[in-house]
Amino acid sequence: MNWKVLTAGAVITVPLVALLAEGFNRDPKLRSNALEGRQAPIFSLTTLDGDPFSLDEANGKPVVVNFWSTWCQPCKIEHPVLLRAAETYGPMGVHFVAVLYQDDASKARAYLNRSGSHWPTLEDPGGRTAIAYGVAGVPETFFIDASGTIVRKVSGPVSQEIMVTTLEQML
Amino acid sequence: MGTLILLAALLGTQPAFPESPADVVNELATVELPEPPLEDPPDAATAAARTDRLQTHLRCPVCQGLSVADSPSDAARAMGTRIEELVSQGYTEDQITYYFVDRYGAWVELEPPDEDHKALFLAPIAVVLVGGFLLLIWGRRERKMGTQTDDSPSQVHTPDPAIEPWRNRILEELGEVN
Repeated sequence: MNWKVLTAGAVITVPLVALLAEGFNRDPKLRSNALEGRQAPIFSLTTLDGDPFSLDEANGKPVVVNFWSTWCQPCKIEHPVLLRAAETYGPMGVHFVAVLYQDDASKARAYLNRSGSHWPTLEDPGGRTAIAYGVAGVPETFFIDASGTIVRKVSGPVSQEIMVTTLEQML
Repeated sequence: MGTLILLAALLGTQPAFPESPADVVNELATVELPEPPLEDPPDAATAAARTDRLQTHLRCPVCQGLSVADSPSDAARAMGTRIEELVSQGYTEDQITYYFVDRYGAWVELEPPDEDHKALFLAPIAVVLVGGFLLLIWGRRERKMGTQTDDSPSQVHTPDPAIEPWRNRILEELGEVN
């Protein structure tokens, strides 16, 4: 066996394989959770009923901000989880807020009339709030604690388990 | 309506049309920005050039490899409009780029910052240099070994006088066997 050739081959191939292995660990579609651990951007928007709403209204209470739209199927899967969570944790002081993403208010009203909601749904003209939160698709949910810090961002539908665990940690 | 216009004409003012619900929603919608603009609002030409550069430089958040300028998606249009708004308020290109990177991560820049990918360009050059150096050493060594072989043929072909009797005996015995 020629040890010199073997060593030279290893010197060339091992770093390449390591580089590829590192690449496999990275999901190119994975979005940044850059806002986790930071203050939530304050926004003032209008509900579908025309009432003004500001994040300041949470006033030292935990808030769950959910970005959604009626054209998003995973949002519909997530909806019952939000309903149950709002029923359980709403009376415990957790605010639930939904922000409509790239959608018509009339479609959202119709969907919510059918499916129900226990939270204000806000219109986001120009998607400024979605941009301020770095939303790159729906659903995306931000868990904001009583101090106004984003403790967790969930891309995709929030499961019952994640919802309960995160809210219990925040309370 | 006619009475309103007549009244307005008499008062010398235009009648104020009621705002549409969309206008009201838009007017009330605000989101806090992390810092104030560093410059005064630019003139139209400068603003258009800055907006164009930023929309070409930043990636559409819902696409794969398309800039905000190139993507027809609603999300890219919203981002493009937001860039336009921020530019017109006097935010610098660096401020706006940082704002988006801060929210979406470095991924949002189509071309990552120089310091992040400079090493990638240097790596092949370094590999070629190291490879060339190794080849040079290997070539010299081979040449040296070849020279040594050529210069001292006696070391190979001339047997040690001390073992000469033994060698002869072995050869003789082999001759007997053969």
